[in-house]
Amino acid sequence: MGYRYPDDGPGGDATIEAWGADLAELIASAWRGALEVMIEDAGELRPIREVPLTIRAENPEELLFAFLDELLFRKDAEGLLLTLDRPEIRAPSSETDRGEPGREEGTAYEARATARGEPIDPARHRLGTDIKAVSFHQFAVKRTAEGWRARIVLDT
Amino acid sequence: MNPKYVRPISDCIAEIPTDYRACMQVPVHVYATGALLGSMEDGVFEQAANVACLPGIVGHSFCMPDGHVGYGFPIGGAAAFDADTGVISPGGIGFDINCGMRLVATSLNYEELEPRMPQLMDALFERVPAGLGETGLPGLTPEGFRDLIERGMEWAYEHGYATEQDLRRTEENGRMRGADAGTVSERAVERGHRQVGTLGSGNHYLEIQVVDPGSVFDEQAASKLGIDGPGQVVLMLHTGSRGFGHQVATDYLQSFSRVMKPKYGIEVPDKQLACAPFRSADGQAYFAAMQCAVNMAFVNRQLILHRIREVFSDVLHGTPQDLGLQQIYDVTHNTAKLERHTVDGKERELLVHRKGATRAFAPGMPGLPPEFAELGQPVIIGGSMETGSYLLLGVESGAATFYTTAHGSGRLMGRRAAKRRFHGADIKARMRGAGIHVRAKSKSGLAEEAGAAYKDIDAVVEAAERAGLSRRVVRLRPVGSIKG
Repeated sequence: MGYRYPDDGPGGDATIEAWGADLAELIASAWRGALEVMIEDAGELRPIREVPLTIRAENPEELLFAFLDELLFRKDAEGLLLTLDRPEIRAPSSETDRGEPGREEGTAYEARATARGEPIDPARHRLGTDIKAVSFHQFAVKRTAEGWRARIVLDT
Repeated sequence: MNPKYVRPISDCIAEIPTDYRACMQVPVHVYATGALLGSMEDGVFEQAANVACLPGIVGHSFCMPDGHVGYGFPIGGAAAFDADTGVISPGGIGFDINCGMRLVATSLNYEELEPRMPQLMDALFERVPAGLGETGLPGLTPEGFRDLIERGMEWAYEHGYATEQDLRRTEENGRMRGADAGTVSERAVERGHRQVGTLGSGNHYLEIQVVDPGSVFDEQAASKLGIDGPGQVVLMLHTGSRGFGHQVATDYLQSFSRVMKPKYGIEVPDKQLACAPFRSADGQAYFAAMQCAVNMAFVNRQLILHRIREVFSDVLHGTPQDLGLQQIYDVTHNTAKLERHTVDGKERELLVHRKGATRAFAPGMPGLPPEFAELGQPVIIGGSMETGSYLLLGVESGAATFYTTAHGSGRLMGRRAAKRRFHGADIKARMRGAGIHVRAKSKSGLAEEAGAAYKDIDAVVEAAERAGLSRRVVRLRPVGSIKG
């Protein structure tokens, strides 16, 4: 798993390319990439607050989007910078990761994860640039030979 | 090199004709002179052409001299849609709804103020909430916030944060009347209520600026606007609706992209262009929610101005009146507004989207403060933190763009590239050498905002003037910069 910041995204924003062996790893590495835009020493965040997350989505794109959106929401609404453990994902089918015919809407993917971190403290944290939103611009989640890959443009 | 299909039709306008793409209903007009046009990415032209495909677009799909690639719509883009047959699109307004500029005069002379600058900058940095995780009004409840977003600057006035003149000298008098908090999600309220009165980070700033000798283009107009001459100190603010506006935009982009095709039969070339008919229930709900975010941003800038007035009073031992801390004007550069414009000799009601573009009403148009009615609308354009900014006025010939002009200098270099090339500490030292006092919460953020990462602001406002979109009144030079 990993991430990088390619140079070909829109100039005013943070573009991230993230990858992982499976969808859960992809989500964890994409968030790590986002977190490191906002704080330079994300590894130093103390796990003094624990936030359980349950995210449901129709497809892998929406699932990744919803995770990033939720963690940014916690940053704004509760002032928390959180690291994300690899989520447990219940997918429609581990073979194809595609929806089964006749499946009820809104139940395709369910992911549970724990986010840990602490309130933002400008006196202790080396802060970078705030992320305001996840955009749909060039947003893509792909299955590759090695696993999963995503491109995300974050509005900063 | 620009694609062949972008062809100059005058010395400041380049056109992309409708035969470039089958879905285009109107041509694209790019307002830029040679060098600026040459520096625009191809993506800008593609995006402006996509906008020309949206239902109900009237006139042209416009790109301003500072245009660059945005999400869906270009930043520096403007488009007017027929109110009855056209659409409303969150992507045409921007995530940071009512991101805007406020300019405040003082009666201070920089030569006299300079020795106090370190103390003043420290106090502003300490007391104006900026950067990640800062809170503006700790006591504000979600309920109070709902009231605030419906009433905008009137809320600020009633709570003692604004003067009557502040309201009068704000676009829309600081309140869009169609705001309805019932159209805003709980999530947006939760994100927003902690953030009113905070500057944010990225390209948002608070600057202390000075009028240099030779930088006043129209002395008479400048004086009526409150700019008396060289040496005068002014303050400029650039911020918007913070996480609140972003949540409103995200919520409606998601709902529009779900209903757009099945319910309204609209297909768009890019998900970020998701839209709904303006007169539909979906369109009206977003319009009401957007107005809440517009009001929130006006109050956000107002609360920061209130804090600035307190700090100046404390440090310089005088009332805000003594110090001449009077608002010149507050403009928004990310909105959609219902306006009446003449199209082919007929007056029509249009929903004018401006994203990274500023309304620039001509003299005598409705909605201007009475004291500026004969001058036209003040327009505030911010450059990079190392260069300068401008106060402009709207002009008659602005009718060509439904009275819209540029909003800033526009990025030339990506944040990542700027961070690799520049270092926060070097930039701080260089700016100090150039007489600019800097206080920044984030060193890397400072590198990302280096002056060289932006287009030439002088070229942008000059192009806007030559194209007849606005005229220059004063150029302002930064002497103090506070960044989140």
